[in-house]
Amino acid sequence: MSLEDKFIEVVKENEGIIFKITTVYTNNADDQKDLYQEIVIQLWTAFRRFRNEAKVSTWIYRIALNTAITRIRKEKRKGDQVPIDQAILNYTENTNPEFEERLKILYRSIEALQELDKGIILLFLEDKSHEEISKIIGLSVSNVGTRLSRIRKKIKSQIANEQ
Amino acid sequence: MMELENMKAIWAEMSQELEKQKKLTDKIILKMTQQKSRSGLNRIINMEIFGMIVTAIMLVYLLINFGKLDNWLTIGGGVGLILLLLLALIMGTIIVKAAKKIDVVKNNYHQTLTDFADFKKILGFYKKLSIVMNILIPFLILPVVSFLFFDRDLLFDLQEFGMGLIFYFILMPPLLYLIIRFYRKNVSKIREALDDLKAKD
Repeated sequence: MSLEDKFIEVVKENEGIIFKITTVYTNNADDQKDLYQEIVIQLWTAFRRFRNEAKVSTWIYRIALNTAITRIRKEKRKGDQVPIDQAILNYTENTNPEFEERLKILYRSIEALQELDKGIILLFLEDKSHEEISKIIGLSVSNVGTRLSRIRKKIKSQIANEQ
Repeated sequence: MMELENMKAIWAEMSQELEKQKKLTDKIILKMTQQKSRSGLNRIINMEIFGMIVTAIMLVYLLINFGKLDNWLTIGGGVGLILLLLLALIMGTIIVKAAKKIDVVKNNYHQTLTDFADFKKILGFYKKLSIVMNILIPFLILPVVSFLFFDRDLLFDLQEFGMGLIFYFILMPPLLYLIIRFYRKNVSKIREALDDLKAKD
């Protein structure tokens, strides 16, 4: 199996992760596609150096979040804001209006967060432990804990305002 | 009120939905391969365009100052040089055109391979032509440049002409080697990218 075949297999297995990250960090289908592509290219560039020291998913989260955050910072320097869209709803077949509404509220509350906090809450929602989040984001475990409790408070009040 | 644990549940439900419909992305991977092949192609195209600009400037300068050349050595050199520069411009245009034709997204794989084979054939011919041109050029360029830039007529200073030729033939082989290596390296990069694409077919 060539390196490229292995890479395609890894990306296909984990495309859900990349997809969710792109929905959190972009606000329309075009931006999302661009970011998706950028992440895949960054992953490919890094893949040759990937030595299985970390779990594949951890490696993907780290590179994808770094790419997304770096891109948003660049966009901000250009003066563009990148809010969240509900593009994800187009991709899910779930037509339950209650589910849709709750997902929208969830996305809106993530939207209000800073770039790094978006990544942290995304990993929390993905059921990652503080240790895993710390490894992926590059903060200390205690710092992750502090930030998470701050984010939880922020989201709670945000959701309370919405309802 | 939606609590954080509920948020996790919604997120998990959404994740399951996403898992059901894998949407990626052969197109993205294809595009990635194209980027790889294009980076080699673009280097060649940029090098060619740069060479063509320099050649065109030399040609215009030579045409403007052609009237100043006044003996058989400089006039003969000037005419020969104009013809060689025109030939280099035509070859440059052909190479750029052939390189731009290679497009793995627009064309199918077979077409891309055919275009790549044509491109390689043209480059191979150009390589041979360049070697001949680089042997001929000093005999033409030295009398003209000496006359136009330094006001010296090499027809009456054959020793200096000889020194110029020796100097040129010492410098030219390593330079020619570097140029040929540049083309070879980039052509093999394109080849590698196309092989990757073949492996995915």
